[in-house]
Amino acid sequence: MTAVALRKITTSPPHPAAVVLGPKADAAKARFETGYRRVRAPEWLMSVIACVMGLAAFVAVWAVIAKFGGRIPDPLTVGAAAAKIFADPFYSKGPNDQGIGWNVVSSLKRVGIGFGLAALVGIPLGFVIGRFRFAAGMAAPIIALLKPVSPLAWLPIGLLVFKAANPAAIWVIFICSLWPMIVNTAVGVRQIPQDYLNVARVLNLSEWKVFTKILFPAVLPYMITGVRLSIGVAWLVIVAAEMLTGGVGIGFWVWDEWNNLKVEHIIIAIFTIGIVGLALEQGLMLLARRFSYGS
Amino acid sequence: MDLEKFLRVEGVGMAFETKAGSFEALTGIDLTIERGEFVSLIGHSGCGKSTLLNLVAGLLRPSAGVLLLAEREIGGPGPDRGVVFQNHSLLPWLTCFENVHLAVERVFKEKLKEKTHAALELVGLSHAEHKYPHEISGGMKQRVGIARALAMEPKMLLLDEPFGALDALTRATLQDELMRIVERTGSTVLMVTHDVDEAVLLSDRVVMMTNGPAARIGDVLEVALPRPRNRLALAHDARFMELRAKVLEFLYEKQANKTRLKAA
Repeated sequence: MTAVALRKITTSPPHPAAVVLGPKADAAKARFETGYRRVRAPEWLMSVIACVMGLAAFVAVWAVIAKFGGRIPDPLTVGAAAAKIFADPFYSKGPNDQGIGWNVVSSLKRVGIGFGLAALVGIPLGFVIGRFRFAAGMAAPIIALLKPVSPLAWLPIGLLVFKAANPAAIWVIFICSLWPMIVNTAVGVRQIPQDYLNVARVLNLSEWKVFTKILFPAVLPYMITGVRLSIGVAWLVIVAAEMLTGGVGIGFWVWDEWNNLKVEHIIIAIFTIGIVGLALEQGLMLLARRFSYGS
Repeated sequence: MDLEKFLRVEGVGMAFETKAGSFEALTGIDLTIERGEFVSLIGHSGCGKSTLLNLVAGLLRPSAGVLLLAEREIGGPGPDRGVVFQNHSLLPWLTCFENVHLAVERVFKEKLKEKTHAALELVGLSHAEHKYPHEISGGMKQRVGIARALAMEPKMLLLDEPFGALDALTRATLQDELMRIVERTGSTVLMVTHDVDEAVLLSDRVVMMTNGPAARIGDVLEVALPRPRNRLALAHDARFMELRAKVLEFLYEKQANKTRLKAA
């Protein structure tokens, strides 16, 4: 029995971690072959290694493209420029020359306001649509018609109504956040198990108790999904909206740097936008996990 | 009050409107239950026994006949009837304590915490008060469900296949516990079950229902076994065996439905 097990261990191919780990892996390999213990890198270490290798490959491809591909700056140039920019992210020399930090903050502010307004309107609407079939019937054609429209198409309407760039950008965010909020909340309301509603009925709970103890907690995970989708879309859209409206904001900054032909700054902006988007997404995932319940 | 007729079900019929037309689930149901009596409803699946329980619970309104509890017509669900569902139906975002408290605060004005503690203690779950439903076993969840129903001090306890989703050992433990609790509280109980042993062991009367559609009460079996009952002693008791055989005969001879048995 042990002999069979031993042979099985010694003949198995070396673990990929052993290749990556270098000198440390040699010791591991020795133990591996004596068959005392099967050495296996922990799961998290493997994913960290995979992640680092992926990023390294990406940077390598980028460096090659930069070397042969005209005017794309190479990773080192961008790194140096980034070090300079992030050394003082919060400077302010007038409305058209502010640090990257201020640009990100003002973009986030617009997303926050537009998104908050969308939540204020969309969540109650979602409850109504989820609860009443007739309301759902009324809303269905409107949502189906307007949901596939690019939010940027609403920008001129915003400019017309608000006669200013900033509220128009917020308006665009509001529109694009609204649909996922309504739809997910409505789906959540419709998914509430009949069991919970029966509990409400046999306990004869008041409407307020039904809402606070059953409807709201049951719908919350769906609402958070709606929020997550909304924020993701909003963060995509704000960059485009700001390119069109100008002012202070990460989207405008990208356009400004394009006009200055500082391509390395554009690349820095791309990474910054990506990282902020990732942080928003992960934050909301954490929130969602907090409010999801096993039964 | 007329103790003989605590719950009265008179000429009750129930038809559901479906896309294929009207479906008659129950017809001509007459049943009275005395105060403190334990009555089981047994029958093949689809015979409408849960429908009858839901009518008593007030979750459904009968299409014919009338249901009276303590001489008052049952017009809807109410805290005078505590319902235990098959799948526990605890709210997963509330702790056991909070789940029971939700029922208590609906009925009482004071000593809410004491009453909640007492109900959980009755089912032996004081130690798990602050756990969430997903942190406890299926049997414990069902006990919380029973505690929630009992905490309202209802006139009647309605159990809809309360132990159907549990494994055999847990089921036996909970049956014993239910007998102990009912003995102590003197509750009037109506229980839906498809378990012959459970029905005979727990009940004073077993109401056997014919197959649907248009199910009726086929027969009523008096279980005159003395209480407290002991599962082990009864396992070899001739009277118990005979009662059990009668229910089995009803279900598998008189109401044998080959297609339905095949489907099950």
